[in-house]
Amino acid sequence: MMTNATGTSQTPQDGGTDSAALIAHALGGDQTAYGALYDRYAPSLYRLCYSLLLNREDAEDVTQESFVYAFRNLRRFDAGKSAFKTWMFTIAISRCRNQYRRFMPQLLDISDLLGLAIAAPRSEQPEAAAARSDAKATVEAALRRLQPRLREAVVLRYGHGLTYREIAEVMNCPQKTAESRVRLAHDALRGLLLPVGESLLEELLAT
Amino acid sequence: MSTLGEMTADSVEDMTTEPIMTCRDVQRALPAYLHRELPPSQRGQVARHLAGCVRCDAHYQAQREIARRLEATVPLIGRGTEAGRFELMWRGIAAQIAARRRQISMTSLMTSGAALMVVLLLALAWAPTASQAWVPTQPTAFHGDGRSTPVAVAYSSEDTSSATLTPPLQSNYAPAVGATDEP
Repeated sequence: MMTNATGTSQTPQDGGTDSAALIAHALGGDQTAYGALYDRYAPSLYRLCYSLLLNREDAEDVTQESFVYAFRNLRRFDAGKSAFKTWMFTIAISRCRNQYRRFMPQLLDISDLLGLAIAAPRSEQPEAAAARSDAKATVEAALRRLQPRLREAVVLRYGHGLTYREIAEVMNCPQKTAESRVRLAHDALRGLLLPVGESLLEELLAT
Repeated sequence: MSTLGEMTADSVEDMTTEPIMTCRDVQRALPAYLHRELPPSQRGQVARHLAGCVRCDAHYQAQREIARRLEATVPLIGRGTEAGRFELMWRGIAAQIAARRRQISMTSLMTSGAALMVVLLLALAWAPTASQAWVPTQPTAFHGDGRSTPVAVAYSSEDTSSATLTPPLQSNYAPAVGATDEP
């Protein structure tokens, strides 16, 4: 897709040194460095936004907005304070929160209110009908029912493997609060996820 | 219950250095314990508590089970997005950045133009007056009846620093004989 400004191979991990070089190139006016940064962080940032908003269009919008903001304010990024990935996550989370506030009613599913079976996400109606019994769809629907702050904590912990210190940094809260949010999310999700068949879980764990 | 005399040195040390963790403390520490983010000393305390407390151990097992499920499923959410979608997003980002750059360069161009215009206007306003040589006018004495007569001003253009003010002579001024300025 995009060429790598430094000519190094790209890895999905947050390679701090490579990222620092890319940022330096971008700040120096190298346009391809922006593309390389996007290539490196877009998949995880989009996944974060999608997991929080559970809507493809909104997730794409917020991903775009976050990159535009980050690239315009690249000089403000301080590598001594945080990793580029967590800085990007902080920007994205703030925009996702604006999105919850704007579209809160859309995040509530009518089936939740009526106590019916878990519905599929509104942006994926066709495939969700077929995948209703799938563990992924079940988790997605379960996350939809979580309070936004608990959902953020769970997604950052399990979706992106952030430590509690990093979660606290991204969510702008004390580390103990981040830990207690994960614990509360565990309690809330237990009833929603345990019905998923053990064989299906084993299958997922094997892949 | 053993008496202090029957305790080993280690157990006495544990009692003096480690604060006692209640069930509530342990349950709060479970997420960090589960993900191996507790400091070793606290980790040991939690482990010992779980070994002896059925209720907390049940909590721990439940948390571990749900964590196992979340680790397997949450990373799948949002995956499988086609590369074309990322390409489209990138085009949108690049377009917005380019539009911003154009806007910034237009703004700076307009600002520079406006500054140049102001400088030119000031220069034009100043130019006609600056072209006339400044000629000092002679001071005139005021008479109150509309007349004015030129006043002669005598000064030395060569040595202005030596000019001193001298008081007018007064007819009634005569220093006392023998008087000096000495205190």
